[in-house]
Amino acid sequence: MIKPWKKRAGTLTYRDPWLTVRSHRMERPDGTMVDPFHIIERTEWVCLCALTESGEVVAIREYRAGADQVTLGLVGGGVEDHDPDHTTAARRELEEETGYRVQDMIQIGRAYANWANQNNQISYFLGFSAVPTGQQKMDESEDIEPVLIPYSAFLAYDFEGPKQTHHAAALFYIERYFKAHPEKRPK
Amino acid sequence: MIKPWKILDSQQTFRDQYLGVRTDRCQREDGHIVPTYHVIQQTPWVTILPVTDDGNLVLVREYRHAAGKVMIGLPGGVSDPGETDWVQVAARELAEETGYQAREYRAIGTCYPNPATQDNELHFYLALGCTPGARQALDPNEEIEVLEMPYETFLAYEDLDVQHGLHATGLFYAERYFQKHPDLRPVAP
Repeated sequence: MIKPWKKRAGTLTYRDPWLTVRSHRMERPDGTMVDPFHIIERTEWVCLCALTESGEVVAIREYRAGADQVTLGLVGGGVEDHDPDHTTAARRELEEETGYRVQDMIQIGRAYANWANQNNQISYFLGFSAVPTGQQKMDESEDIEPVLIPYSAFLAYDFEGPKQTHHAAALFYIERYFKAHPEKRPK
Repeated sequence: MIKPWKILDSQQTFRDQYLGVRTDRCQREDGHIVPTYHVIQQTPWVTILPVTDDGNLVLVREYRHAAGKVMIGLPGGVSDPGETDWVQVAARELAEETGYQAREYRAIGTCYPNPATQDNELHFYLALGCTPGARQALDPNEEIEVLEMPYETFLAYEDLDVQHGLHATGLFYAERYFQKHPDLRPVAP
Protein backbone atom coordinates (compact mmCIF):
# COMPACT_ATOMS: atom_id res chain seq x y z
CA MET A 1 0.00 0.00 0.00
CA ILE A 2 1.39 3.38 -1.04
CA LYS A 3 1.62 5.82 1.89
CA PRO A 4 2.39 9.55 1.96
CA TRP A 5 5.99 10.49 2.67
CA LYS A 6 7.06 12.38 5.80
CA LYS A 7 8.37 15.91 5.41
CA ARG A 8 11.54 16.15 7.52
CA ALA A 9 12.63 19.68 6.62
CA GLY A 10 11.76 22.33 4.09
CA THR A 11 13.98 25.18 3.08
CA LEU A 12 13.09 28.15 0.96
CA THR A 13 15.37 27.71 -2.06
CA TYR A 14 14.13 30.73 -3.95
CA ARG A 15 11.56 33.43 -3.43
CA ASP A 16 10.69 36.72 -5.04
CA PRO A 17 7.29 38.32 -5.77
CA TRP A 18 6.68 35.96 -8.74
CA LEU A 19 8.12 32.60 -7.79
CA THR A 20 8.60 30.42 -4.72
CA VAL A 21 10.59 27.19 -4.78
CA ARG A 22 10.64 25.20 -1.54
CA SER A 23 12.97 22.21 -1.24
CA HIS A 24 12.08 19.41 1.14
CA ARG A 25 14.01 16.60 2.76
CA MET A 26 11.61 13.68 2.56
CA GLU A 27 11.43 10.32 4.28
CA ARG A 28 9.67 7.47 2.54
CA PRO A 29 7.75 4.83 4.54
CA ASP A 30 10.66 2.39 4.00
CA GLY A 31 13.05 4.91 5.60
CA THR A 32 14.77 5.99 2.38
CA MET A 33 15.51 9.72 2.24
CA VAL A 34 14.69 11.81 -0.83
CA ASP A 35 16.67 15.01 -0.69
CA PRO A 36 16.11 17.52 -2.20
CA PHE A 37 12.57 17.45 -3.58
CA HIS A 38 11.70 20.81 -5.15
CA ILE A 39 8.14 22.10 -5.08
CA ILE A 40 7.06 25.13 -7.09
CA GLU A 41 4.50 26.99 -4.99
CA ARG A 42 1.82 28.82 -6.92
CA THR A 43 -1.53 30.47 -6.29
CA GLU A 44 -4.73 28.71 -7.44
CA TRP A 45 -5.49 29.07 -11.15
CA VAL A 46 -8.71 29.45 -13.15
CA CYS A 47 -9.39 28.63 -16.81
CA LEU A 48 -12.55 29.76 -18.62
CA CYS A 49 -14.16 28.84 -21.92
CA ALA A 50 -16.62 31.68 -22.61
CA LEU A 51 -19.18 31.05 -25.38
CA THR A 52 -21.15 33.68 -27.26
CA GLU A 53 -24.86 33.20 -28.10
CA SER A 54 -23.81 32.22 -31.62
CA GLY A 55 -21.57 29.43 -30.31
CA GLU A 56 -18.15 31.01 -30.58
CA VAL A 57 -15.34 30.65 -28.04
CA VAL A 58 -13.87 33.92 -26.76
CA ALA A 59 -10.24 32.88 -27.18
CA ILE A 60 -7.05 34.90 -26.84
CA ARG A 61 -3.83 35.20 -28.73
CA GLU A 62 -0.84 36.09 -26.57
CA TYR A 63 2.90 35.74 -26.29
CA ARG A 64 3.94 33.05 -23.80
CA ALA A 65 7.54 33.46 -22.72
CA GLY A 66 8.03 29.90 -21.40
CA ALA A 67 7.33 28.51 -24.86
CA ASP A 68 8.77 31.67 -26.50
CA GLN A 69 5.86 31.65 -28.98
CA VAL A 70 2.57 33.40 -29.66
CA THR A 71 -0.21 31.02 -28.60
CA LEU A 72 -3.94 30.75 -29.16
CA GLY A 73 -5.96 29.59 -26.18
CA LEU A 74 -8.53 30.10 -23.47
CA VAL A 75 -8.72 32.83 -20.86
CA GLY A 76 -7.02 32.03 -17.57
CA GLY A 77 -4.91 33.26 -14.72
CA GLY A 78 -4.16 33.21 -11.04
CA VAL A 79 -6.68 33.75 -8.26
CA GLU A 80 -5.76 36.98 -6.46
CA ASP A 81 -6.03 37.76 -2.76
CA HIS A 82 -8.92 40.17 -3.33
CA ASP A 83 -11.00 37.64 -5.34
CA PRO A 84 -13.75 36.38 -2.98
CA ASP A 85 -13.99 33.08 -4.90
CA HIS A 86 -12.77 31.32 -8.02
CA THR A 87 -15.87 32.24 -10.03
CA THR A 88 -15.14 35.93 -9.46
CA ALA A 89 -11.53 35.36 -10.47
CA ALA A 90 -12.63 33.71 -13.73
CA ARG A 91 -15.03 36.59 -14.52
CA ARG A 92 -12.30 39.14 -13.71
CA GLU A 93 -9.74 37.38 -15.93
CA LEU A 94 -12.24 37.22 -18.81
CA GLU A 95 -12.99 40.92 -18.65
CA GLU A 96 -9.35 41.97 -18.16
CA GLU A 97 -8.02 39.78 -20.97
CA THR A 98 -10.82 40.17 -23.55
CA GLY A 99 -13.26 42.91 -22.52
CA TYR A 100 -16.05 40.29 -22.55
CA ARG A 101 -18.51 39.43 -19.79
CA VAL A 102 -20.65 36.32 -19.42
CA GLN A 103 -24.15 35.99 -18.02
CA ASP A 104 -24.05 32.44 -16.65
CA MET A 105 -21.04 30.48 -15.61
CA ILE A 106 -20.60 26.99 -14.21
CA GLN A 107 -17.60 25.11 -12.86
CA ILE A 108 -17.02 21.96 -14.91
CA GLY A 109 -13.82 20.60 -13.37
CA ARG A 110 -11.05 20.99 -10.86
CA ALA A 111 -7.63 19.36 -11.06
CA TYR A 112 -4.02 19.71 -9.99
CA ALA A 113 -2.06 21.85 -12.43
CA ASN A 114 0.90 19.48 -12.08
CA TRP A 115 0.81 17.26 -9.06
CA ALA A 116 4.37 16.01 -9.31
CA ASN A 117 6.10 19.26 -8.42
CA GLN A 118 3.55 22.07 -8.21
CA ASN A 119 1.17 22.57 -5.29
CA ASN A 120 -1.78 24.42 -6.84
CA GLN A 121 -5.06 23.36 -8.44
CA ILE A 122 -6.90 24.79 -11.41
CA SER A 123 -10.66 25.32 -11.62
CA TYR A 124 -12.23 25.01 -15.08
CA PHE A 125 -15.30 27.08 -15.98
CA LEU A 126 -17.76 27.24 -18.86
CA GLY A 127 -19.46 30.60 -19.49
CA PHE A 128 -22.51 31.38 -21.63
CA SER A 129 -23.88 34.42 -23.48
CA ALA A 130 -20.55 36.25 -23.64
CA VAL A 131 -20.81 39.88 -24.79
CA PRO A 132 -18.11 42.56 -25.26
CA THR A 133 -19.51 45.04 -22.76
CA GLY A 134 -16.53 45.17 -20.38
CA GLN A 135 -13.18 46.89 -20.29
CA GLN A 136 -9.97 45.10 -21.35
CA LYS A 137 -7.26 45.77 -18.74
CA MET A 138 -3.96 43.96 -19.00
CA ASP A 139 -1.14 43.43 -16.52
CA GLU A 140 2.27 44.90 -17.36
CA SER A 141 3.56 41.57 -18.59
CA GLU A 142 0.50 40.83 -20.74
CA ASP A 143 -0.06 41.54 -24.41
CA ILE A 144 -3.35 39.99 -25.48
CA GLU A 145 -5.66 39.95 -28.53
CA PRO A 146 -9.19 38.48 -28.23
CA VAL A 147 -10.26 36.15 -31.06
CA LEU A 148 -13.68 34.54 -31.70
CA ILE A 149 -13.55 30.92 -32.90
CA PRO A 150 -16.51 28.57 -33.53
CA TYR A 151 -16.65 26.00 -30.70
CA SER A 152 -16.45 23.04 -33.11
CA ALA A 153 -13.27 24.46 -34.64
CA PHE A 154 -11.68 25.03 -31.23
CA LEU A 155 -12.74 21.54 -30.12
CA ALA A 156 -10.76 20.00 -33.00
CA TYR A 157 -7.75 21.58 -31.28
CA ASP A 158 -5.57 21.22 -34.36
CA PHE A 159 -4.78 24.83 -35.27
CA GLU A 160 -1.24 25.97 -36.07
CA GLY A 161 1.05 26.74 -33.15
CA PRO A 162 1.60 25.52 -29.63
CA LYS A 163 -1.18 23.92 -27.59
CA GLN A 164 -1.76 24.28 -23.86
CA THR A 165 -2.38 21.30 -21.60
CA HIS A 166 -5.01 23.03 -19.48
CA HIS A 167 -7.00 24.13 -22.50
CA ALA A 168 -7.18 20.54 -23.78
CA ALA A 169 -8.14 19.50 -20.22
CA ALA A 170 -10.88 22.16 -20.22
CA LEU A 171 -12.19 20.71 -23.50
CA PHE A 172 -12.28 17.26 -21.88
CA TYR A 173 -14.42 18.57 -18.98
CA ILE A 174 -16.61 20.64 -21.35
CA GLU A 175 -17.30 17.61 -23.55
CA ARG A 176 -18.18 15.53 -20.46
CA TYR A 177 -20.59 18.31 -19.46
CA PHE A 178 -22.19 18.51 -22.93
CA LYS A 179 -22.56 14.72 -22.95
CA ALA A 180 -24.65 15.00 -19.79
CA HIS A 181 -26.40 18.23 -20.94
CA PRO A 182 -26.72 17.97 -24.76
CA GLU A 183 -29.14 20.92 -24.90
CA LYS A 184 -26.30 23.25 -23.82
CA ARG A 185 -24.01 22.31 -26.71
CA PRO A 186 -23.47 25.21 -29.18
CA LYS A 187 -25.40 24.59 -32.41
CA MET B 1 -0.66 41.69 -34.04
CA ILE B 2 1.00 39.98 -31.06
CA LYS B 3 4.76 39.44 -31.51
CA PRO B 4 7.31 37.48 -29.47
CA TRP B 5 9.31 39.43 -26.90
CA LYS B 6 12.97 40.24 -27.34
CA ILE B 7 15.20 38.88 -24.57
CA LEU B 8 17.52 41.68 -23.45
CA ASP B 9 19.22 39.79 -20.66
CA SER B 10 19.01 36.26 -19.34
CA GLN B 11 20.38 34.81 -16.11
CA GLN B 12 20.48 31.32 -14.64
CA THR B 13 18.79 32.10 -11.32
CA PHE B 14 18.83 28.54 -10.04
CA ARG B 15 20.14 25.23 -11.29
CA ASP B 16 20.64 21.79 -9.83
CA GLN B 17 20.22 18.35 -11.39
CA TYR B 18 16.41 18.49 -11.02
CA LEU B 19 15.35 22.05 -11.73
CA GLY B 20 16.45 25.12 -13.65
CA VAL B 21 15.07 28.63 -13.38
CA ARG B 22 16.07 31.19 -15.99
CA THR B 23 15.24 34.83 -15.36
CA ASP B 24 14.88 37.08 -18.38
CA ARG B 25 14.58 40.82 -18.89
CA CYS B 26 12.40 41.29 -21.99
CA GLN B 27 11.22 43.99 -24.33
CA ARG B 28 7.83 43.95 -26.02
CA GLU B 29 7.19 45.08 -29.57
CA ASP B 30 5.79 48.42 -28.25
CA GLY B 31 9.00 49.07 -26.29
CA HIS B 32 7.58 48.15 -22.88
CA ILE B 33 10.18 46.43 -20.68
CA VAL B 34 9.20 43.33 -18.68
CA PRO B 35 11.94 43.54 -16.03
CA THR B 36 11.73 40.07 -14.45
CA TYR B 37 10.26 36.98 -16.08
CA HIS B 38 11.04 33.52 -14.72
CA VAL B 39 11.09 30.50 -17.02
CA ILE B 40 11.14 27.06 -15.38
CA GLN B 41 13.41 24.79 -17.41
CA GLN B 42 12.43 21.14 -17.74
CA THR B 43 13.15 18.37 -20.25
CA PRO B 44 10.16 17.15 -22.36
CA TRP B 45 7.66 14.84 -20.66
CA VAL B 46 5.82 11.78 -22.02
CA THR B 47 2.48 10.49 -20.73
CA ILE B 48 1.09 7.10 -21.80
CA LEU B 49 -2.46 5.75 -22.10
CA PRO B 50 -1.72 2.01 -21.92
CA VAL B 51 -4.63 -0.12 -23.15
CA THR B 52 -4.97 -3.88 -22.85
CA ASP B 53 -6.77 -6.00 -25.46
CA ASP B 54 -9.59 -6.60 -23.00
CA GLY B 55 -10.43 -2.90 -22.72
CA ASN B 56 -8.55 -1.90 -19.57
CA LEU B 57 -6.22 1.00 -18.91
CA VAL B 58 -3.02 0.23 -16.99
CA LEU B 59 -2.80 2.85 -14.22
CA VAL B 60 -0.41 3.73 -11.42
CA ARG B 61 -1.11 4.69 -7.84
CA GLU B 62 1.65 6.77 -6.31
CA TYR B 63 2.38 9.44 -3.75
CA ARG B 64 2.63 12.85 -5.40
CA HIS B 65 4.59 15.00 -3.07
CA ALA B 66 3.68 18.50 -4.27
CA ALA B 67 0.02 17.70 -3.64
CA GLY B 68 0.84 15.65 -0.53
CA LYS B 69 -1.56 12.89 -1.58
CA VAL B 70 -1.62 9.34 -2.95
CA MET B 71 -3.25 9.46 -6.39
CA ILE B 72 -4.30 7.28 -9.31
CA GLY B 73 -3.10 8.32 -12.74
CA LEU B 74 -1.49 7.53 -16.05
CA PRO B 75 2.12 6.35 -16.25
CA GLY B 76 4.69 8.70 -17.70
CA GLY B 77 7.89 10.51 -17.06
CA VAL B 78 10.64 12.83 -18.00
CA SER B 79 13.04 12.45 -20.91
CA ASP B 80 16.78 12.63 -20.40
CA PRO B 81 18.61 15.72 -21.71
CA GLY B 82 19.06 15.39 -25.51
CA GLU B 83 16.55 12.56 -25.89
CA THR B 84 14.03 12.98 -28.78
CA ASP B 85 12.67 9.47 -29.44
CA TRP B 86 9.41 9.79 -27.51
CA VAL B 87 8.25 6.23 -28.22
CA GLN B 88 11.44 5.00 -26.61
CA VAL B 89 10.81 7.23 -23.58
CA ALA B 90 7.20 5.99 -23.43
CA ALA B 91 8.26 2.33 -23.64
CA ARG B 92 10.92 2.83 -20.97
CA GLU B 93 8.60 4.65 -18.55
CA LEU B 94 5.81 2.12 -19.09
CA ALA B 95 8.20 -0.78 -18.41
CA GLU B 96 9.84 0.88 -15.39
CA GLU B 97 6.63 2.05 -13.73
CA THR B 98 4.32 -0.87 -14.52
CA GLY B 99 6.35 -3.79 -15.93
CA TYR B 100 3.97 -3.79 -18.95
CA GLN B 101 4.94 -3.84 -22.61
CA ALA B 102 2.94 -2.53 -25.58
CA ARG B 103 2.47 -4.07 -29.02
CA GLU B 104 2.30 -0.67 -30.68
CA TYR B 105 2.43 3.07 -29.93
CA ARG B 106 0.38 5.87 -31.50
CA ALA B 107 1.13 9.59 -31.02
CA ILE B 108 -2.17 11.26 -30.07
CA GLY B 109 -1.20 14.79 -29.06
CA THR B 110 1.50 17.22 -27.94
CA CYS B 111 1.09 20.34 -25.85
CA TYR B 112 2.86 22.60 -23.38
CA PRO B 113 2.17 21.81 -19.70
CA ASN B 114 2.42 25.54 -19.10
CA PRO B 115 3.69 27.77 -21.94
CA ALA B 116 3.51 30.85 -19.73
CA THR B 117 6.32 29.85 -17.42
CA GLN B 118 7.69 26.45 -18.40
CA ASP B 119 9.75 25.71 -21.52
CA ASN B 120 9.03 22.01 -22.12
CA GLU B 121 6.48 20.06 -24.15
CA LEU B 122 4.42 17.02 -23.14
CA HIS B 123 3.84 14.18 -25.62
CA PHE B 124 0.87 11.82 -25.24
CA TYR B 125 1.01 8.24 -26.56
CA LEU B 126 -1.63 5.58 -26.84
CA ALA B 127 -0.01 2.21 -26.10
CA LEU B 128 -2.00 -0.65 -27.67
CA GLY B 129 -2.02 -4.32 -26.74
CA CYS B 130 -0.36 -3.91 -23.33
CA THR B 131 0.62 -7.05 -21.44
CA PRO B 132 2.32 -7.52 -18.06
CA GLY B 133 5.77 -8.96 -18.63
CA ALA B 134 8.63 -7.96 -16.45
CA ARG B 135 8.98 -6.55 -12.95
CA GLN B 136 8.90 -2.82 -12.33
CA ALA B 137 12.27 -1.06 -12.28
CA LEU B 138 11.65 2.03 -10.18
CA ASP B 139 13.85 5.04 -9.55
CA PRO B 140 14.90 5.40 -5.89
CA ASN B 141 12.31 8.20 -5.52
CA GLU B 142 9.47 6.16 -7.00
CA GLU B 143 7.09 3.83 -5.22
CA ILE B 144 4.27 2.73 -7.46
CA GLU B 145 1.33 0.33 -7.37
CA VAL B 146 -0.05 -0.92 -10.69
CA LEU B 147 -3.73 -1.50 -11.37
CA GLU B 148 -5.99 -2.16 -14.34
CA MET B 149 -9.31 -0.34 -14.75
CA PRO B 150 -11.89 -0.43 -17.58
CA TYR B 151 -11.24 2.53 -19.91
CA GLU B 152 -14.89 3.60 -19.64
CA THR B 153 -14.57 3.81 -15.84
CA PHE B 154 -11.48 6.03 -15.97
CA LEU B 155 -13.15 8.16 -18.67
CA ALA B 156 -15.63 9.34 -16.02
CA TYR B 157 -12.56 11.14 -14.65
CA GLU B 158 -14.59 14.10 -13.36
CA ASP B 159 -15.99 11.76 -10.68
CA LEU B 160 -12.59 11.04 -9.07
CA ASP B 161 -11.93 12.78 -5.73
CA VAL B 162 -8.57 14.12 -6.82
CA GLN B 163 -7.82 14.91 -10.46
CA HIS B 164 -4.83 15.96 -12.53
CA GLY B 165 -5.15 18.41 -15.41
CA LEU B 166 -2.51 16.59 -17.44
CA HIS B 167 -4.48 13.33 -17.27
CA ALA B 168 -7.72 15.04 -18.29
CA THR B 169 -5.70 16.26 -21.27
CA GLY B 170 -4.63 12.68 -22.04
CA LEU B 171 -8.28 11.60 -22.02
CA PHE B 172 -9.17 14.52 -24.33
CA TYR B 173 -6.56 13.36 -26.88
CA ALA B 174 -7.56 9.69 -26.46
CA GLU B 175 -11.25 10.47 -27.08
CA ARG B 176 -10.39 12.55 -30.13
CA TYR B 177 -8.27 9.67 -31.46
CA PHE B 178 -10.98 7.03 -30.82
CA GLN B 179 -13.56 9.20 -32.61
CA LYS B 180 -11.36 9.04 -35.71
CA HIS B 181 -10.40 5.37 -35.14
CA PRO B 182 -13.51 3.79 -33.57
CA ASP B 183 -12.08 0.28 -34.14
CA LEU B 184 -9.38 1.04 -31.54
CA ARG B 185 -11.74 2.17 -28.76
CA PRO B 186 -11.17 -0.10 -25.73
CA VAL B 187 -14.15 -2.32 -24.99
CA ALA B 188 -14.64 -5.03 -22.42
CA PRO B 189 -14.88 -8.50 -24.02
